[in-house]
Amino acid sequence: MSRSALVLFLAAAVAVAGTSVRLGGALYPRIMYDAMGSSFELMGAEGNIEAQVSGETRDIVTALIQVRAAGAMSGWTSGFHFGQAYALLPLGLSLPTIKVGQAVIPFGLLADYDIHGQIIQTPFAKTLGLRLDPGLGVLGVLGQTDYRLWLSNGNGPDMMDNDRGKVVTARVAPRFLLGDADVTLGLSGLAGSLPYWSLDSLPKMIEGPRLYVSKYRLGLDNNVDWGPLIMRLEGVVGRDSKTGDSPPERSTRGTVPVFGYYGEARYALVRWLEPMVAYDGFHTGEGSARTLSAGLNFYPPDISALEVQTAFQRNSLNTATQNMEDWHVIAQLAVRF
Amino acid sequence: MSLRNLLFGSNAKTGTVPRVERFEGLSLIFALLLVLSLAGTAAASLCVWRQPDADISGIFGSGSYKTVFADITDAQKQKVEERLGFPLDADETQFKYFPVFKGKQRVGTAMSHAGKGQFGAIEVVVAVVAGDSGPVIKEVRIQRDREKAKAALRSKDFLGQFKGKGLTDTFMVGEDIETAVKGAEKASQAVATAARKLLVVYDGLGRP
Repeated sequence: MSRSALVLFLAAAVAVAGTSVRLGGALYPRIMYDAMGSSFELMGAEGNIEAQVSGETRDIVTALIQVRAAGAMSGWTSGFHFGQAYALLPLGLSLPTIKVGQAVIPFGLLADYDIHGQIIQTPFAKTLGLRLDPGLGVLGVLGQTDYRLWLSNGNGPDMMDNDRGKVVTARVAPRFLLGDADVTLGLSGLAGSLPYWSLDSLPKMIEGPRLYVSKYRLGLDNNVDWGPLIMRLEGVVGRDSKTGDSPPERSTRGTVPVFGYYGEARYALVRWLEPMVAYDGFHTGEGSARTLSAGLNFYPPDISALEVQTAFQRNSLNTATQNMEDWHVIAQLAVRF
Repeated sequence: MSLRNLLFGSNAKTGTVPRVERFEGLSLIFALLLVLSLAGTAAASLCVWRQPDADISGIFGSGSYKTVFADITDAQKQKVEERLGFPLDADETQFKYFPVFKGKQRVGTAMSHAGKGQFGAIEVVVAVVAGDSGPVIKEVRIQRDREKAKAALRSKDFLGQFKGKGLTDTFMVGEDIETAVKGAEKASQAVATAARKLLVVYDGLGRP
């Protein structure tokens, strides 16, 4: 369903039913410094509309639309963060909820961890190639286990499904208290046609995919809230269908193996100050792309609308043709309203 | 169509570039304007109710719920702040309530709030029912927190103290609430304050 159709549907629902509408939004200005010098950009400005259509005794549909209003982030990478537009149709207590529209693929940490608006990100761009995808699915909770199933186009946000390929993503994630730690363990599987970039072409990701290949992924993720410490871990293994870039010696029956990982730890020294470190990598037959991040987040007391994030990040890309390293320092203000 | 074609498409294996098109944004802008013109107040920062199924089953046995948004007027805000003894946050202009039903009968109301813990937000869910002299708490649960005494804060011994408390109770640790564990006084008070705040605001908004 397109965002336009969903918004029009919502407008009609607002006009005829007992519907409540909430508006919100966020701005993400940032300063970046690297070997080339410094820059200031408004990375993104977004508007959010949440509408709720309720009957006499229960919610019938909840819809959310996230619109990118402005910002320097453009091209394919903009679609990682802006463009959610979906409706949730709960079937009843203890029953699944149907989700339809353009939403986050529920693979690994992406299912629960909203990385949009964060400087330090999980390596979904490299391991999957997209974050938002139009589709249809179900989600719910059985006991203490969260489950999600999502069938989507695999072409990315705001795209027609002209290749007729689909992606199936499934995740189950039990959550439990282990002593003073709140633990979530997730097991995810994904298969389907998804955008592909060789490691050498990653710097051109903003231009959008030039190739779609069959990808198979299996992921294990872990979120631990242990007092002021939050740890997030993700491991992804899989195979990509062979392309012209694939080293022949690594391919098996037309596919090549890949793997990725992410580890993050953040610790609240006090309610308003939180240092964090993260490390991620993605390895293919060509080589590897890795990022080391160290950040400091500041949450002004009693002003939940503001957040200041700072991060130092060092990227390395190692392939047969490139051995590249770069670094940057970013300070980003998140203003939510 | 084969399962393989359904999943991967006919050209995924060959690596050809699919033709893709972007939707035009004009109709989206018109639709947005239409929704904006019909919309009410701007949204405040509201705490998500993360596990409604588990909470309703655990607290009320069974039932259904719906979402109700309630804006707070200046007059209501002033009265609520007088009763609370501290100001609401600047972005608390709207509150969200979840009336719970069994059949068509309303049996209670659930609400959620992010209290201010020692190391971050403590997300609490409070379920209230009608009492003889106003709403009383049926149960308090913690959704998420970053406190060191996580297990003690979520224990029945601590959270069970809130059952039956109403608008005239003080919700003060050391008075009518015992700390979850020694050293967790601030976190315990944050939970108690959040519960009282939800109760007072709920009453101040006319028990929506």
